[in-house]
Amino acid sequence: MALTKTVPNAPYLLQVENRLFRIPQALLSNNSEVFVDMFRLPQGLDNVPEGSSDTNPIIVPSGITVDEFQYFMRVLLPL
Amino acid sequence: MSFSTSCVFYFLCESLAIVTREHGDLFLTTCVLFWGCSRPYDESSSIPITGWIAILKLSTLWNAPALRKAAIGKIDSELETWKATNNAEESSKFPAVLLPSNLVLLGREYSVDKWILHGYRSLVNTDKRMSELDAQTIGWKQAYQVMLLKEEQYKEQVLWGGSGLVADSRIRDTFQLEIPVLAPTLCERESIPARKKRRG
Repeated sequence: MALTKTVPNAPYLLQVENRLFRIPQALLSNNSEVFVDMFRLPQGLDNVPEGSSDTNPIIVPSGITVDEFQYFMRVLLPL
Repeated sequence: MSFSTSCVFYFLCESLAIVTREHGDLFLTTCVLFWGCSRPYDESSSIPITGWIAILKLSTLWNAPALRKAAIGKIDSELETWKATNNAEESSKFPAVLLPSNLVLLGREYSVDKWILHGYRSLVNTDKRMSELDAQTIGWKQAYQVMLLKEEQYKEQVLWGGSGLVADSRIRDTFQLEIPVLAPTLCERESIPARKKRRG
């Protein structure tokens, strides 16, 4: 499975419920087409890309719990 | 170790230390990516069945086909394990989320046709009467259709003999709005669904 070269590898911040996760961008985009598209979207004019800082994380839609997200990450990256 | 080898080893260690100090975040990220992307999904880890359902949910939502396939495979193998269990005490520990009526729901929710068929097959081909909770779970109309199938099969068995089991083709015909894809591809359609839900 090849890495998506057009997407940088910087860690991104995702907020699930009230918890922040720092996830390498390529790890998500390598496995999910939704994230590939999300990371390719043009950023806003204020030059602060969504997900690049604690104050501007990508908000994961409600209905997804921290436990569910952790299981998903456990399969992607079982450390 | 010779002096020259020691020098080379020292130089490599020192270089790695500098890289780690100066680019710690990038170095760590690269290590994580190398680890995360260079090995297959760990399906043997101790993730409970509810965890695999969560993985199925997110992989379907975020269009991650490899993870979705892994989750479906894991839940399938769990179903097979229980199928092979004849011990009554062990059977009582069967996860509620995989009971036939709940399996129909899971199949509908995440578009796994073979689970819908599997659930209906279990509900139809049993001597036990369907519980009110099961009927409520799959829907009253579908419960009525299950009862009709059971009744027809019973009549046929009394009149003509036979196994007493309802054939899969008949179950598919009855619930064709929920299980639209006909055999033999029925059980292989595990790709990301275009439509999220189908209701009968």
